[in-house]
Amino acid sequence: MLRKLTGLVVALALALGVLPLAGCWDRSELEERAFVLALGLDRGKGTVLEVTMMIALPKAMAGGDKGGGGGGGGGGDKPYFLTTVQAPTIGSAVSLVNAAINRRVSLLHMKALFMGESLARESGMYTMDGFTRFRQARQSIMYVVTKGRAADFLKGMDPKIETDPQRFIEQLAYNSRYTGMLPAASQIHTFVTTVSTGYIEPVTYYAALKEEGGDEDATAGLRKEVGWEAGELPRTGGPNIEMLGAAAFRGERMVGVLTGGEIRMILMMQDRFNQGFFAIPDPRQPELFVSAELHRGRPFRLELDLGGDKPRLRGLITLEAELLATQGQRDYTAPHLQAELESAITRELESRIRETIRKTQGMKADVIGFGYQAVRQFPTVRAWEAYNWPDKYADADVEITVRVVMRRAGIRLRPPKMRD
Amino acid sequence: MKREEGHIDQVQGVMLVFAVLSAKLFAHYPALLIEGAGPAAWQAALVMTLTAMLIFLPSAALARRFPGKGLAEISESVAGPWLGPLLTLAVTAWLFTSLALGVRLLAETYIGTMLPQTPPSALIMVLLFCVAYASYRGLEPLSRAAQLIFPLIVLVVVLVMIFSMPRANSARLLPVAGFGLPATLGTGLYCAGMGAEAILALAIGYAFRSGKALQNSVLLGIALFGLFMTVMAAVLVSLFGAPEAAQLPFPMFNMSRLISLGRFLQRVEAITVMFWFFAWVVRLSALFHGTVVSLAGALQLPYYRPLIFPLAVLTMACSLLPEDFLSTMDLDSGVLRPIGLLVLALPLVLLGLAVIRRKGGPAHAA
Repeated sequence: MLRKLTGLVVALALALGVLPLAGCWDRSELEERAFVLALGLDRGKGTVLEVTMMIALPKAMAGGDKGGGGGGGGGGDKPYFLTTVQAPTIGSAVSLVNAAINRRVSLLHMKALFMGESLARESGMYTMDGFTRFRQARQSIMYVVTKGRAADFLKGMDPKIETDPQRFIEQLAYNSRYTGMLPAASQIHTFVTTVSTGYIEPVTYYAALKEEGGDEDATAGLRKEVGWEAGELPRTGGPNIEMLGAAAFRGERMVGVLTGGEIRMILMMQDRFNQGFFAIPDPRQPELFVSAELHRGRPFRLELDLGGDKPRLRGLITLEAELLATQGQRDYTAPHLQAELESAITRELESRIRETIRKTQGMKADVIGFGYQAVRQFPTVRAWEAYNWPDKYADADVEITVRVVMRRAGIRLRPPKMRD
Repeated sequence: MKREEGHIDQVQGVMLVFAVLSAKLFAHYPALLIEGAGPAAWQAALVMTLTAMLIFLPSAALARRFPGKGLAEISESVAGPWLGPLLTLAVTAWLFTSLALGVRLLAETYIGTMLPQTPPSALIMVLLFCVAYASYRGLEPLSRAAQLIFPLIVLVVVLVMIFSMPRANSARLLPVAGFGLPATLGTGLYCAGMGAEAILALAIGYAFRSGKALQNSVLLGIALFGLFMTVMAAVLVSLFGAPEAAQLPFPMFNMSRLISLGRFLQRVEAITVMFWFFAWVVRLSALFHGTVVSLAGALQLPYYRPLIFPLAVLTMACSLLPEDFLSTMDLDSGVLRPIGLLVLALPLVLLGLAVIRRKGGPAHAA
């Protein structure tokens, strides 16, 4: 009898336990939420922030309702609207926005943070404590520094190919695996971790809007190849968003901009370069170009000597190349010309690497991460901190050697014959 | 006390001890190691494990001397009818404090991460209902639940670690000696109290089939926990860097939020939190059960079940005493853990008395 009664009580308790599954205090209805997709941060008036929120219009996203585009830069059939508010913190910005938006604003689905360059130059860590502490925000949020104000960037975005600009930006970042023109990672997690550990200086994605009607010199563009910053690419038409290169930081402050080409060199020295198309002047006809696809070869090797006044670093990058195109008549598949082409690519890359290192040394920012190798030579954190790597890096004697091996020559042998 | 609880074998014992200790992987304990030892936290975890195993040896010797007996019976037998129950009460008080703080920590963890609007009392009531029911059912179902939950905990912890790996950088584990050898050793020794809940095994020693089974269960359980804590400390440091990892009160939660493989495997923390709850319920149920049977033993009551409801009410009241989450964490790491070392050493006193007074030994074997 007692057993039956106990069983009955337990069954009743379990049945009643189902009731709160629908949610009690923390119940949340989707249609009562306004999800922020991306956030733009700029310096506002005085010490406050200017927070621009890109808030999703779910019906427009699903294609059910073309209207509903809102204020700010939004409108038309955009699946979001923008709203900008001046507030001391992001939390207070959310509260203020909620005075004008009936749905409860939530950062749960936020995927990107855009910070205006001027604010990043004050401090890229601004508000980072909030993003790592507040349960709604995720550390996997993409972190992008914008040329100019983030609010203007968000308002002016016109991805054309996608209706959701945040998705467009996300896919631009994915492209970097094939181009190598963006840093290996740019998220709140990587930024905060990098700043706090100090073995490497942080970099973030750098994006800008392309202004139509610029006076870019397309020929200069070819010569400069990938040495462009976002917003400067020699192109017209298409989406007006460009994201390449990086914002370089020293500690929490942004100290400069790295071009897409420089980021490629940095990725090679970080051993994180996957592949990319390169164009170098033809060794026999410098007015023409040879195009090759470079792949990561053997792991990057680095030797450090921290014994002298200046750190001495010697590195070796090994890459594999596939010939993609020649503009001239030279047959670079012939063994002696192949070696010549390999040497030409090597020289070109070594020169670009030297320039990149010089630039980062000028910024006193080891964004390459040689510090990760240097720290191996110190037994304790105290000894490492006493060495003061960031200052030592600026004076370091760095020499990186490149070895390129042409493995393949595409799906044909000699170049096609030409006739006058 | 009436034996109505059945027995647990060595495998179940290992899993029970591991389940009780491993819930710490989900809480602020790895951060304690990283705060103290920096990048060398994994080494401190090894020191902690070895120290905890070493400190438990007198308890193991005591268990082998008094096979088939729990702490209350051993204390009474060795230290007499007055001092014995007092010593048992001391251990019971520590177990109870650990239980109350654990209940509050779990409730605060849920409030801090997932359920910010839910009052702690509501969560604590639900939790204590589960815990009290588990204790009512007795040790055997509890140890079977631990056996069931063991592979799930291991699987979840391992999967979260593996899926977080793409963001890890082993260079963050450098410099290899962290804050220096003294800091590593000091942190390891200080944190050895993390294994203090192993005293629970002695409290329920009557349920083990032999003293050797108890000894092996605890030593293996601590070793397994130490292994996971070592790996966890290393993974956390390589993911977040020592300065950031030391500031994470919910490390598994933070790790799971970093998981993003392609665009299909992300936002897995809801699943992690579910297993986190299971692990904590087993831990708290075992602590509750250890507390209630020790209390019944110290008070020389024949049954422990009448104490379940009053103890649950008392646990709820005491768990709400700390003002906030931070003070609960401080109490746990700053007061409870160091005292835990003394609690683990208490059986040494009993062992000494047993040797002097020639109590126990083969003659007492059941």
